[in-house]
Amino acid sequence: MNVKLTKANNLLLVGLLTVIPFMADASTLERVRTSNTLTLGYRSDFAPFSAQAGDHASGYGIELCLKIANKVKTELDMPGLQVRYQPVTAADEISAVNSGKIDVLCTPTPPTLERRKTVSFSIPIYTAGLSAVVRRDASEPLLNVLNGKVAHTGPTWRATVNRGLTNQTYAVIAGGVSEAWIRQQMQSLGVVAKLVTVDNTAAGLKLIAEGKADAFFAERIMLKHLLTSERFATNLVLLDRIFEYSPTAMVVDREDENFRLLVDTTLSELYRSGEIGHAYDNYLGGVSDTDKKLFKVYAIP
Amino acid sequence: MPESSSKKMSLMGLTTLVTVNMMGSGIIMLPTSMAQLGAVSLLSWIVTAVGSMAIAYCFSQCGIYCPRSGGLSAYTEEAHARSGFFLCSYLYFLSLAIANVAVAISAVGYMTSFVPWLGSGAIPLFIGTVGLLWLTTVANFGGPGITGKIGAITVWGVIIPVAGLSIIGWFWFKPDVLIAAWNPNDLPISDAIGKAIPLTLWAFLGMESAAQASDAVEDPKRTVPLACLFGTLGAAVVYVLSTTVIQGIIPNAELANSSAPFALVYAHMFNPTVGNIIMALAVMACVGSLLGWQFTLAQTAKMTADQGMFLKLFAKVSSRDAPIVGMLVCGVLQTLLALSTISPNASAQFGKLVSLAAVTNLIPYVTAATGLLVMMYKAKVSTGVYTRNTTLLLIAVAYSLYALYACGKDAVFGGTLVLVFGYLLYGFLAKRFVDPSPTAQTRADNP
Repeated sequence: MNVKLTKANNLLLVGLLTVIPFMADASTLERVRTSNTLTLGYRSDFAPFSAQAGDHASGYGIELCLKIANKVKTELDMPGLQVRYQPVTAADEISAVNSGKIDVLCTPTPPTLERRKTVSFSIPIYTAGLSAVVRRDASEPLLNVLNGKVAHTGPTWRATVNRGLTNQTYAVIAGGVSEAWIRQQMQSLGVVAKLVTVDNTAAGLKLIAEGKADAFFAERIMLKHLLTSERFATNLVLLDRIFEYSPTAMVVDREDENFRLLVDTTLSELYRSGEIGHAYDNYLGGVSDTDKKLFKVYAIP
Repeated sequence: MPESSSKKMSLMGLTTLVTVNMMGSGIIMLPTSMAQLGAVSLLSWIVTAVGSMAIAYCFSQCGIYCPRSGGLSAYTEEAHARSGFFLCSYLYFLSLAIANVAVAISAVGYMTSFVPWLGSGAIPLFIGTVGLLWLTTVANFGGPGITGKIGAITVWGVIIPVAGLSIIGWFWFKPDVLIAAWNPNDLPISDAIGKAIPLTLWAFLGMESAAQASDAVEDPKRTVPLACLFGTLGAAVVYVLSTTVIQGIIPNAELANSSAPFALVYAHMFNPTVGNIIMALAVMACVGSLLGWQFTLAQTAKMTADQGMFLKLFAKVSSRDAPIVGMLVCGVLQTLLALSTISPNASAQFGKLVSLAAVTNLIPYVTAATGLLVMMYKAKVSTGVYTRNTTLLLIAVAYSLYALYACGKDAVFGGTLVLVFGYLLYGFLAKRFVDPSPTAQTRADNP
């Protein structure tokens, strides 16, 4: 260091050093207070959990986030609080929370240890189930393996077509936890298959409908939602089987336990009061018995 | 039957027919299904090759003691009388009629890599299957001599890729690749072998095709037993060597997910063009095996019709010794079966028929092999021969029973119904074989 420190410089440095911790600590709640705005982040291609609706957003996750916004209004005593919607993408959803660009990610997201290194998660808001969509004319060996049976029963002899090993193409959304799961499972599924990745659920369904892939793995409710809304989906069916369950949660800043506590308090109250059932009815086709049991598990007393 | 031998099949021709029949369509995906379990599955060959050789040995012994026309059905009649002859033919005929359609469907499946149109939907698959069935039917119109000669060409489709790999593949063989592939799913060894046996248990079905051709070969008393033994032995050697060497060349994960393992290994050893040529050869062998099976189907029907147990039209032969009318009837029957490819639901039903066909293929093994006991009694064989043959016979029957058991409940259930229905059919036929003898009158005295 060639810079010679003067007294003035020293003073400046001391001043900066006292400011920096304050900035790093610029917590979500502080930010909300100073900007008078709560920024709700969401993925726009995640209907019925979150989707663009004009300049607003709607969906299950958004409805829960609005409850949180109400809580913030009362807790911080800010009746004039603005709520802003900020769409994010798969690539920047985590960094958007980490950098403070959004205050909370409303789209249900599966926690991973890797993600926990940069952000924190609320209590679970929804239990995602990995399922698959196939065409109505899917081959029997494929249906067998997807439903957890062996691909081919009975003798395997010269007349067994392909020895029951049909050549299949699986599709999955790139980069998610399902992709990792499929890659791990492919061999034990028992048919010859290759994996292609797509950007979103609609693109995956399209591949199946066009016959370019044979089974598309994604979140069950999202698949169900698209199957009823997309025109090309008439020859597709959703399997009953759920391969894996994964609790999903809202993403919040890692540095602000107070905000996280506020979020978890709101959610736990929704669970306990049964009010969450409205959101389920509105967006997810009602509450099942399993869901009700899980509500009790997820709510923090 | 004094006929010129040029129309007949030679020992070489019949041996290749047996080998191609056995391996033609089954070998193509075998390395993939074995790799899914790991190289540990190779141990299953010890059981299945020995059991199958015992069956082949019994059939060849039957061929020596019973050189008459009729194949498995004639062997069966030795111990199980005329109804045995009919049921054996009936079950075996059904088995082939169904299985051949399935082989055609597989062959069309393999052809899609060259003619993608065939894979573009249900109708192209149907057209391809029917086209192939009729191609292989018409190719048999030239008589057994021509069938043998075509077989001598298509057999190279097995020899070059599969037998060739068993020889030259060792230059690319790496023991550590095989060791790494040993047990990728970390199953207990007994579990792994238990799961592996079904992969190769039925791989030798087809060894009987030598016996079924006894009408169409030169010097059947010598040719049939030798072709049965050599054909099965050849298939066993090639099966074991090729599925071993391939697992020491291609890493397990890649092999277990390959839809064309032989093309893959040649592409790995040389280049993708060679891989494609190999795939084309494999398809040729598959079509060649279909030709052989269509021939065997027509021969089975002809021999049974000769005994007055199938419609006479199956027995009519052309000047070149080909039962053309019977082949046409079989072709029509199979075209109807091939209609199943049009809907996924019907395909699933047809899949069940294919499993059932394995059962109706195996029941005749037991009835035919047990005929050997009577043949040995009639021939007054020495105690040494009797003991040796009976021991091998017991192994053969035990193996057949296990193969039947392993077909599973559904297949055995269907097969049994078909068998019982056969008794009804024979009931209508049986009066043809009644001797008008006075003993029939004695019942009148005994009300």
